[in-house]
Amino acid sequence: MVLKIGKIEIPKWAMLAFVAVLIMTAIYIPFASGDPDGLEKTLEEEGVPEPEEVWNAPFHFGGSFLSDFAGVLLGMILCFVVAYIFYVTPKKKA
Amino acid sequence: MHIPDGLIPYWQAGIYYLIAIVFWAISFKKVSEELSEKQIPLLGILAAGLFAAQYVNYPIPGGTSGHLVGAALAAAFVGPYGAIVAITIVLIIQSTYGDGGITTLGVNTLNMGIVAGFIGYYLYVWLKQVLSRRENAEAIAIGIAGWVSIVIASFICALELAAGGVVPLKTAVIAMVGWHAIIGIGEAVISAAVLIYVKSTAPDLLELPKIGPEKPILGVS
Repeated sequence: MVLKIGKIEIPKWAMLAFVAVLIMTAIYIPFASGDPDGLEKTLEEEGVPEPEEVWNAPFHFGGSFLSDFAGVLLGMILCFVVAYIFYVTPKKKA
Repeated sequence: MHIPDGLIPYWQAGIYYLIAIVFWAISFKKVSEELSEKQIPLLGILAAGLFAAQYVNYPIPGGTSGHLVGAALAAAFVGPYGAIVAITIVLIIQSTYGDGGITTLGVNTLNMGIVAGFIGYYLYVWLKQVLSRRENAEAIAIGIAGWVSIVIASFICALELAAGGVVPLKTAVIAMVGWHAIIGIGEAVISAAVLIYVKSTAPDLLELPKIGPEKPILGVS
């Protein structure tokens, strides 16, 4: 089975893998740690202040399960689409 | 390990951008030339999966947390150049979420894509050969390669922080490598689990051609 969206063909295994990763991440979201990561902890321990933002990132997610889930879903779709479009176009031309 | 905008001096971020641009040019060219039809959705799934895995942090004792970087794991499927492309896509999307940064896209690609991807890939291939007689050799190899790739990437990151005058060198190395030696255990476990699962369900995905340098590095190709 292949899902066709315009020139893009997505095989069944890829769709299943996408959904499986999304479900596993959604299950883990309530248990995710809000503690600083390794770099943030190092900076925190050394008293390095957070740098000022140089631009306003367009997407802001977090604070609730639904917001995090939406963030993961959107990010996954964007990553998948960017990787796909970028390479499917020259392959199709070839 | 995402260095945010404004943490290191812009001139330094510019140097890392130049290094990254060289690897981006080679990686994107090689991947667009060599990626097979079957590897296109694989690259998409790798990028999407790494984004999801990096979105949720797992807790680490000592009041910190970590997340999968996944460069070694991605390289095991699509080679080091493929891993650089997948990690770059993830970093670009993450920067629109305020994670990492625009000015630091080069340095983050250098640490998490280039350093972790190349070290992870070549160590994985070498260990797979060395451990070939053992059961689950690939899973053990990717676990070790994932851990080492994270620790070395964190060491490079510590050098960059020290070079930028953010944290003294000794402190940066001890703290970054120390924390990531623990965080890397999660990387090892998750990478090995993914490889075991893929090997049992779709082993052909691991046998697809890898996109990397044509000449072997230290006898490993």
